[in-house]
Amino acid sequence: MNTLERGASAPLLRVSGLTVTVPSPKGRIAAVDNVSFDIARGETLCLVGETASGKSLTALSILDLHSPGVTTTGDVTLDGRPLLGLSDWEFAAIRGRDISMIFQEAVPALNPVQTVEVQLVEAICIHRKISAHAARAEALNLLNSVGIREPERRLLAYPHQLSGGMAQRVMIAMALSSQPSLLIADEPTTALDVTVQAQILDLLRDLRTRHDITLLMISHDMGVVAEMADRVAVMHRGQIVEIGPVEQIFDAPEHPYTQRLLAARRQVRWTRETVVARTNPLIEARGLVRRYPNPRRRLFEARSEMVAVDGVDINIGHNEIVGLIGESGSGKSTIGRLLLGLDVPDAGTIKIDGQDMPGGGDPRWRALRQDFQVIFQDPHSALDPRTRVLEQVKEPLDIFDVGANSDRRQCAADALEQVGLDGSVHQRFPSALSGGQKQRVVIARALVLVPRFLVCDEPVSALDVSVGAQIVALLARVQRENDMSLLIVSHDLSLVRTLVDRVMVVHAGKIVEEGETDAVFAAPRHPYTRLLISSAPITHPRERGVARLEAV
Amino acid sequence: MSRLIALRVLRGVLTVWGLLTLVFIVLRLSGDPLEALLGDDAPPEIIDYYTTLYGFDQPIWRQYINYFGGLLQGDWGQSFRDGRDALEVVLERVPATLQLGFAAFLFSLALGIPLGILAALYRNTLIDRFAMSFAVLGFALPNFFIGIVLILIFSMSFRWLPSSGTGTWAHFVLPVITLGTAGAGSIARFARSSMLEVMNRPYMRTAQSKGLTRPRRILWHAVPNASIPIVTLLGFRLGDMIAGSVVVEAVFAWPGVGRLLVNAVTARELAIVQAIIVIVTITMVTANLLVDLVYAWLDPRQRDGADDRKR
Repeated sequence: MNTLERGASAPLLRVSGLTVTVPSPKGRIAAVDNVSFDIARGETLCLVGETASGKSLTALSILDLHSPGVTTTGDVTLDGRPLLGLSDWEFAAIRGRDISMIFQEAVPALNPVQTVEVQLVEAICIHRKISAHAARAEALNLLNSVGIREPERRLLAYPHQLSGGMAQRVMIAMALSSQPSLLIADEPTTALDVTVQAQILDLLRDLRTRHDITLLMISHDMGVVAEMADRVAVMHRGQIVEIGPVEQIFDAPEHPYTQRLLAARRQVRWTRETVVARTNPLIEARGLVRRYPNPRRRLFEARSEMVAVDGVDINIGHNEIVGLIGESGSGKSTIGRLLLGLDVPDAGTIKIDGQDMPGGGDPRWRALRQDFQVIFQDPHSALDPRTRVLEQVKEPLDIFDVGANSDRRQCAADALEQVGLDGSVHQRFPSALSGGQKQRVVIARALVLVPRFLVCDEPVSALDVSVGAQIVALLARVQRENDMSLLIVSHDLSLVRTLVDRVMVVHAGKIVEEGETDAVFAAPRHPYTRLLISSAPITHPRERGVARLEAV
Repeated sequence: MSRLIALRVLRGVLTVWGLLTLVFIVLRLSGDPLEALLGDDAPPEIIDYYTTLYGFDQPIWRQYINYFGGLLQGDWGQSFRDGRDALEVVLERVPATLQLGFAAFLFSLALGIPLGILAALYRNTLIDRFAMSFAVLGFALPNFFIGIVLILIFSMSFRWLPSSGTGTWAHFVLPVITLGTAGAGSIARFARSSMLEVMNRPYMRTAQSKGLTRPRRILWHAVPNASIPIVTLLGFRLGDMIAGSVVVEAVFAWPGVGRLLVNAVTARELAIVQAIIVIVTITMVTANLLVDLVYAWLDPRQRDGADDRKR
């Protein structure tokens, strides 16, 4: 179902009957299938969809940035001028001048061996006759306009010296250098922390009005869509299933897939009857400190240290679900590793059931490996690609020599059943599974040993929203069924909010706020918590314009 | 940077010392140098005289200490045959080997890198197939075989080029091709895979989206990035050029260190073999140090220490 919406004036960009085929093991498949849409001048259209919905391929088609082997048919016109079928030379004159693009990961999108200045000046000089001196001045201006502090110093920086947010600002500056009429932003904030995401979205909104830019934004995040879009096109399996004004999409979604996408975001609190025993915590950590040495720059230079965890106290009760929220580099994952006994604190004590955490050589440490399990962020790299699913789930039982060999298979099958995977996956290799299925296997592998404590390090960050919602529901259920304590380490506020009993906010290695989840979210006390909560994307376009807090 | 250099130099000194110790012991275990010098039927008093003269009557650890003591004072030992200083004998051969090795190195660069880049840009076409067939052949064929075939064709049949000796540029042609072909092959393969990887990097798409034309994208964005891993390989190849010259110098009667080494080993000229080992090792270590410096110059990420990105 493709609805063409027509503005009063002629559209700036018109895409009609766009089909993109990509090679696959089963022959060529149409990853984008007969997609049509218009973008009016000054408008922001969001293409929303999940992994492999074809949204990025659609965006890449507009600038013909495909890798070799991808073929495109259909029509794309800019101001009435056809774009598809232009030669590389003809297209080069349009790219960056009329249409610019920014990408999901900004640091790898910049050339690692050139300074910011070289790359910015290059972008300025391609489409204009301008002296080197004037181009440098222009580059400074651009960095200023995208809100980079100390632009003179940043001009001389290499990409690896920039943070993700700063690199994205540089990308935006580069994209705007020739004042294009259309800016394509492919998931520009997905790789960023939530506070940085809020800043970049603010910047894009600001630039949009200042420079009168038409924006085509690709996103999987309905929150970002709610913040930015005038109109929304929902893509599913290579087709646009619904297109319309943003309020209409949020208030009265017609297509079942759109409804599912929106439902996945709705913050359902998992009601739990489990009584948390507060008297005897399972884990009791006091004054944890973990430092890492920084690399030395010069011979004989005193070695400086980075304090990743700085005096942290944590209690985790039996059957309790505790959330650690914080941004990348805040030290939250390190805390998780310390509590698991996989890393040793430089100071502080950890007691498990009142006894000291055993050291590496202690036989009790090995027993701890059975009781304490972990689930990682990226299920794709957490599974051995060359071992069949059932074997991987059975392996922990082999390692700890639990039960007879024949029973182990049954145990592994039961664990898979518990996470909602039936016998059909047993003999498959991980590559034949979807991301959600892989994460289920990872969870089954952790559950098979019936652990008492499970650390989930960003358990849904690598997954699509709808799949993530299923995994969250699964975690809530297995926690209930297995009487485990759970530590959820995440930067995702909505995940933490829906799942955990008690939340701790980590900032620069310290716990700055701690309390019952609902209480913390309703009335955050620490300024950093307030910033974090106010940076979370809105849930509905009508919430736009609510003032955001400044960065602390 | 200074830390890097200091570490490398220290490691280099240790490498030279370790290797020299090994060679010192192996040479003395593997046969009697005086037998090779004096022959089987030398009278015992002559043998005794030389044994005492060169200190072979002393325990091996004392010989070892004496040798290193001398080395630290600049005494590299003497050739048994004519009593000349070992270092002097070796050094007069070094220029010839360096000339040949360096010319061959340049040849393999000049051939290998363009070939690899072309193969990557025209992936899966005839150009690619041809370039890679050459690379595999060049790498797989032993260089004495290439040398002999070249001599057969260009010296014996056509009589275009000399088959041995030095003097004119024409003398360089066949040895350089022989010595450089294997290097060109492996450099070409490496340059190809390095280019292919770089071409798929996100920044190449950025370069395209900025409006750069293909030649500029390749020259300004792909090649500088692709050259970083190639430089690592070049360090090994530069070393190989010196080491590989042993065979090639023998085939083309090139008066370099390689041929000297072969002769010295046969004649059990201990001091000369040891001096060559030291010189070759120093060359290798220096080449690797140079590579590391070039690496740091090419890749800004290396300049900032190991990795200062956030963990």
